[in-house]
Amino acid sequence: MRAEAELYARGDSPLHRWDARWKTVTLAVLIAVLVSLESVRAALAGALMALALLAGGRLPAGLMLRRLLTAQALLFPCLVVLPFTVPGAPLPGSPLPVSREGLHLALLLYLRALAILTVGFAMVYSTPMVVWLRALQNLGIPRRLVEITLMTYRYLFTLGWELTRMRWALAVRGFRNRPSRAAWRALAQVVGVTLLRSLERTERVRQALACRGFQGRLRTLHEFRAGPPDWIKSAVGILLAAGLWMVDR
Amino acid sequence: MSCLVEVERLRYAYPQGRSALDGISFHLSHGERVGLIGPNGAGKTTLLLALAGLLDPFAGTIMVAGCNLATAAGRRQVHQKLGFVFQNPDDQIINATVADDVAFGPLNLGLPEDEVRRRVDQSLHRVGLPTECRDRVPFHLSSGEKRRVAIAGVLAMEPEVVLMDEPTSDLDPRGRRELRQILDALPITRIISSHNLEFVLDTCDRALLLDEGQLRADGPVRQVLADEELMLRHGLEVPDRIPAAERRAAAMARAAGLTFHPDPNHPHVHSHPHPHPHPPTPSESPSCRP
Amino acid sequence: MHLSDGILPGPVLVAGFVSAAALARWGVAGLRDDETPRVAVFTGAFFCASLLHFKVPPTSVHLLFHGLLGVVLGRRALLALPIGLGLQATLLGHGGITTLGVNATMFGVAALAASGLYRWLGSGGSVRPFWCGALAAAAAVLISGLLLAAMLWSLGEGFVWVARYALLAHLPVLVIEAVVTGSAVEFLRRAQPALLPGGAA
Repeated sequence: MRAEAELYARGDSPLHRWDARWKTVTLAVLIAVLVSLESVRAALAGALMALALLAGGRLPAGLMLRRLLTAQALLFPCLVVLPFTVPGAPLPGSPLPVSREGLHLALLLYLRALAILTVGFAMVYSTPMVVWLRALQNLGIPRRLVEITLMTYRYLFTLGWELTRMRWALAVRGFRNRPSRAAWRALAQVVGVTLLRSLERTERVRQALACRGFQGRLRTLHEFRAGPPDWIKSAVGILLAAGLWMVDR
Repeated sequence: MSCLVEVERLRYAYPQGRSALDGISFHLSHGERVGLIGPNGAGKTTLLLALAGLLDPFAGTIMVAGCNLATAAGRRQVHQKLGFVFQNPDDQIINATVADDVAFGPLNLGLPEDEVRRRVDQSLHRVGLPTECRDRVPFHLSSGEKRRVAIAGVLAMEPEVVLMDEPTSDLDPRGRRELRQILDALPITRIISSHNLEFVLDTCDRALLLDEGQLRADGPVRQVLADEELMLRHGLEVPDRIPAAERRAAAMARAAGLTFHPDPNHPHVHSHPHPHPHPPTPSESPSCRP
Repeated sequence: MHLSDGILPGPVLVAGFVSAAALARWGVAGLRDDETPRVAVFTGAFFCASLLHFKVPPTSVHLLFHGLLGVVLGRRALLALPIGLGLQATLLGHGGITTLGVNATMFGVAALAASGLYRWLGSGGSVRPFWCGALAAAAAVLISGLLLAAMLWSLGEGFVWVARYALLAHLPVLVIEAVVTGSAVEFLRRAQPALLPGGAA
């Protein structure tokens, strides 16, 4: 696990400079429209729009394509099966028993998923997680949830690194990841030790927090400032989303 | 008031029953730089946790900057006066950006935002971190940088005394040198617990030697650290750079009773001979007595 | 197994967010200030544990550990799950952003069931810790698997096969998750009973 999103989120582009609150609301509206699309035509337009948005972030294309492929891995079984299982008129001239409706549905699902994922990546890879979470708090997500997420995010990589070292320790003692009960037990032990260390760490974190006068709130100095460029970007985004919705009707 | 920390007949046992601190008494004046040394399991960290008001209940008296740690109110208030730099910065850095973490303590104190901003800038500057670091995330920092962020977070609360638990444990020689420079530039009362005796020699004026939960020596740092017999008996060693003549002198000083050897059953107040940089005048010493 | 973006219709997604919010609300009730770091560190630990892969020829699977999460965190699992799933969706692209509510609900219900089952099995004292953990984890996987299948099933005739495939894919996960959770519970029982409910005594 690498903090690559965090790395790219600190780049510079029109997408990066967009105020996180305005960006979140606009892209949420866009995603809401994308989710409800029923025609392949509109879904295709939506996917192209999303890809253009991602391109506006000047992010490395190869990396984005790889990420998109991984994220869609769970979708592929659906796409293969659906043309055969959805009842409807058989596709003329096809050697396989594929229905037109099934093919249509598979294509729609694929384009819709592609569009949603791309918009999601445009958001994640252009906004540092901390800024985004504070923006969400600004938009009404409960403070408690945001604070626990911030702390989780902060400890994620520390814990991940501990886990990696534990697996190295297993590897140098000849552990091989095989499908056997012994291997599973060893990995279960790793999980158990991770939890134990987490418990010990929690106690030290609690003490360190007490020493700094923690009273249950994780405050920040971050201030959001939005100006005309943010409003214009959001207005364009909302208009495009409305356009998609019209095309779909 | 020159007496900042007063510890009398402090005893503490862990919930499992094992005794960790067994009748410790010492006083600390403003401006003193104290090194806390001792073998593994001597009770160094436990003593620091007790001074920070994190252990309850204990027997005896602990007063830190006017806060009586036997009371819940005192244990709450002491955090405005005392800073604690934990051994592992990862336990201490709770926020996901450097600036948020340094601002965490001052914001908890309820200070206005402008003042918090000022303190964040000042503290980062004092530990030698550039302003560009502000928005960085902890997992992109090196060990030395994490250590500095942890120290900056404590300094931003402007405490009267700072406790540091093994500040050099994950630092390379350059990191240690830089930490020493940061500490040299800070005119703040401090207790540093460390296994790195060279570092203690460089950064402290007074040494407290702890073993098996008891205070075994309390005196000028060079005198305690030069005492070969004392150091070996408690699982430590004399730093190489202390010359033989000084070692002999330290042994003689101890034989003459010049180094403090506390008797846990009869604790008596020891006014330290040469605190630095503001030695209390003899007339001030009685104010340390309870 | 997570539901990914693009499959479910809008109303189901909205219902998922509403139910996940209601569950999280119940999960946060009575949360003490000093519990925040505990929930956060454990959420992080479970997130990392779910990155371990287990060989199941011809492929390898990632475990969810929502059973163990329920056992260790109890009601607080309802907070840990949306946070963990949200971070997984954004950082790794597992699952989905729009399906976050549905997934959190699915796993939340399963984690609660695992927590209840573990307490019930453990209360008698006659069931070995391994089996308490294993059965709780099996129940969690079964419940989340059935919920997932039911949701796919409801999408129409074309998805029946997909639902069956999804349910079938849960079987190896169920076995491994049960063995691993059982072993982990057994280990924790010995090393630090205070981590598990009813173990502090």
